[in-house]
Order: sequence, then C-alpha cells, then structure tokens
Amino acid sequence: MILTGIPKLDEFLNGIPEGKSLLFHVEPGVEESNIGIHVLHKNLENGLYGIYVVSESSPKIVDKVFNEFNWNLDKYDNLIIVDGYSSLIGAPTDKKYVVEEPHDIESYEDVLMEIIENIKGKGIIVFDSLSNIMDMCGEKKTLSGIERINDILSGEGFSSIYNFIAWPYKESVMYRMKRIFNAIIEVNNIGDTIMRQRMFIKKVDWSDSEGKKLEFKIFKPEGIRIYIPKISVVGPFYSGKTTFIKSIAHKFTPVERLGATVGVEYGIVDYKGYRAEIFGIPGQERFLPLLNKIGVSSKGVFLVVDSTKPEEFDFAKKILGEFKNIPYIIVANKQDLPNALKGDEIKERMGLKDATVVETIATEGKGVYEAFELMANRIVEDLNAR
Amino acid sequence: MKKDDYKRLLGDLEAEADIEGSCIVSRDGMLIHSKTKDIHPETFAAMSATLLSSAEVAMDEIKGGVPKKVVVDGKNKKIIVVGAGPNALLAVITSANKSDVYDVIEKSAKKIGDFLSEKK
Repeated sequence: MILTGIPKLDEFLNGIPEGKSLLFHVEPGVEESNIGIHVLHKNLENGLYGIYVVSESSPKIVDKVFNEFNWNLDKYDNLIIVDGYSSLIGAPTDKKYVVEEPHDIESYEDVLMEIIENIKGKGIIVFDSLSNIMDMCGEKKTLSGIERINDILSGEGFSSIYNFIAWPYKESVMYRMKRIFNAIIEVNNIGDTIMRQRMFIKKVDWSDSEGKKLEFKIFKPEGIRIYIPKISVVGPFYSGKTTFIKSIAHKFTPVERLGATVGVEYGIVDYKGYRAEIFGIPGQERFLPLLNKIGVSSKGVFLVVDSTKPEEFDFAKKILGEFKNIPYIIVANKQDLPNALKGDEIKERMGLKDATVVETIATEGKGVYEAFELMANRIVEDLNAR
Repeated sequence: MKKDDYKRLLGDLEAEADIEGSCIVSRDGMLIHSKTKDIHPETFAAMSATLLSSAEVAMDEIKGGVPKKVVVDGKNKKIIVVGAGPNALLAVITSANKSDVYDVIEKSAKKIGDFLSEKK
C-alpha cells in the first residue's frame, strides 16, 4: 500500500492502492505546492521504489528540497530521477534517465517503460508538474499519454502522483482530467490572514472519502502537518493546565510566577501528523477578560479540572461557557491523587453528560496524548461538518 | 500575493526606522507574517498579543481608553506593540532610543490595518 505520509489523509483514503493515480490539483498562488515530493519521500522511507519526474526545473531542485526537509538524498538507492528538463534548455545532465524530447509525451512514456523494465519491484511515480508537461507537449496529447502511462503502471504495481497547477485550461481539458485520474485532491489557500492551505478530496474511486477536507501547512524541516492554528487550554486555578501543556508540547513558553500562571502560555504540539498551537489562559477569575481576547478563534478547548476538587466544577463550567460551538474535551487531571473523581462522575456533576472526558495524570504524561489526539480528530470532524 | 504584500509592508518599515525585527500578528495571538532573526516568531507573536490585550483590559479597568501602544523597555532592546486595525497588531523589536521611531511604527501599523481591511 502506498501512503501519502499525511496520517489523516491516509486514514480518509485508506492509502493509495497499487495502480491508482492521484492528482494534486493546486490553485495558482499556493506556495509550497509540491505535495508529491512528500509522498515520494514517505514511500522511499518505506523501501518502495520512487521515480521522480522533473520537468519544471533542473534536477538539482531535488537536492535542494531534500535538504530543506533534512532528508538525506544519498540514503535512497531506491530513488530514480527522470530528467525532463536538461534537454529542454540544452544543459548537460548526470542523470541516467533523460527525456530526450521534452516536447513529446511519448518520450516520457519511453523512459518510464525503460525504468519499469529495468527494476524489479513496486513503487510510486511522482510528476513534479503535469501542467508544465501539458504546456510542452500539448494538453490533449499529454492526457492521452498519461492515460497510457497509468494503464501500464497499474499493471506493474506502480501508483502515480501528479502535481498540477490549475491554470485556466479549457473546459474540455479539465473535464477529461476529472475522468482519467482515480483521485483528485484540490489544494487551495484559505482566505483569511493566517497562512495555511486546504486539501479537498474532490474525487476518489476506491474509498468513500469524497468531499472530505483537511487544513494543512508545510513546515521546514518537519514537513506537511495537519494544522490547527489554536487550541485553548482553560480551567480553574491550579488544575494543572501548565503541566498539561508542558507534557504535550515540544516547544513551550511558561509564564509562571510563584507556581501560578500569570499570562498567556504558548506551546506547539507535533503529534501523529498534526501541528497545533496551544494557548494556555490563566484560571483565576481576574484573568477571564483575556479569554475573550485570546481565546477567540480557537478551534477547540481543553477544559482542565482538578479531579479532587468538585467545588470548582461550577467555575470550570462558567469558563467553558465563554466558548461557543467549538469542540471541547474535559481533562480530568490529577487522577493519581486520593479521592480523585472518575471521568463519568465529573461529567455528571458538571451536568455535561455528552461531554468527552479524558482522565489524566499530567505530571506523569498519562492520558495527555490521548486527549490531544481525540481533540485533533474532533477538530477535523468539526471542519468537515461545517 | 498576500505574503509578498506583508513582506513589502514590513520591508518599508525597516527602511524607514532602525528596526531589528517585526511581526504582523492577529489580535488573538496568531502569527500572520514575520521579519525577524534568531527568535521564535510564533512565541513572540503570542506574547505580543498578550501584552496588548492585557493592556487593553487594564486600561479598560481605569477607563483610560484604547491603548495606543505598549512599550517594553529592556536593558538592550525595546518591544513596541501597536494595534493595526481591528483584527491585527504590529509588534516591533528595536534598539532605537529616539521617540520618532514611534511615529514611523504607528504609521506603518495604520498602513497594515488599512491593507487588511481592504482584503476583507
């Protein structure tokens, strides 16, 4: 099975079955649009063959991109680069596989067939720019060639990935494209101020995930992450919010004086393909005005409570009331202390029977990632329900 | 493209005043664009928004009106945070001691605010 390397996308798609083709249909203006190279890397790591067809720029770009993500190019003897660029500008090349006639799609087919014959094994072919090949070889001729390539690849256990910048092509060309690829994922910018992109599964003929969407960002050197711009962590004073953030965040900025948080804390969580920015807001009532200023636009809320202090649950519920219509999870912290109430009882006492509660011991890191994963999945569900 | 616009706006600011770094940040603490070196811009963004929003809450308590700017005067550097329209703020790092740097930053913040309003 081919994976995209983006865990949530792989969950939606159930990976990419052998022989299937996937087009990343990218809106012009999206920066960092080369998603194919991340899929390539993931499968090289998994030991599959990766054929990367470079047509838009010099093959040296592969070294550059691999460096940006701290991937060691020399490590992969299962990587084959097809140079479709050097002949175009008459430059010398040190690549074994060269497209001699970059204006002729059949020249691409010839090289790919030669590679498939020479190697024994399965893998993935990634085209850095289908739009560029279409401009070079003609739109209809290219698409006919791609249909032939996909047919042959599907018999050889290879899946194919195409990066495509969606310039305004003719309607008939776009219609044909919709028909010939097994899956199409649209990639566009999100129209507000915080930079991120959205993937939208427009078509997929092997799973029922059509219409699903994900918001993501490409980080260097970490790679593609499903991006959650803000999760707030709130709760009564001394319930363990800071320890909770500290235990899940790989970068954390505490704002503590004498053990109490006196300002907004900030952390970044990188877990299972998610990247979330976490804002911890102090729990004393006098800091509540900050909730309205910093807590707005949160995609989700962790309400951290001390499970041994039911007398604080009313106040906790009041804090939660400041957030409207976003997913929340009650973090029932300090489960290691005597008399800690269990999650179900906490829900009941708070009058929030439908709430999700995760029992944690933040000081030991117990339950914290479970809470994060539940929250991240809940936020993705929320995005898809809107 | 937006990113180029933000880059230009912060570049213009740097050209006009002795600025070491600057960030455009949403009012609720998320980084929109940064032009900084050797700092973690997301953390700086979150803290800058906290500075401005805390100042707003404190000023509100004393009925002092909307704060024009927040200045954190350190031994080596200053942080200046100025509102840039209703949805964003401009946070600047500088070592400059002349007060005219405030005028330049405030003008720049206004431009950023106007630009973001046009985008809406």
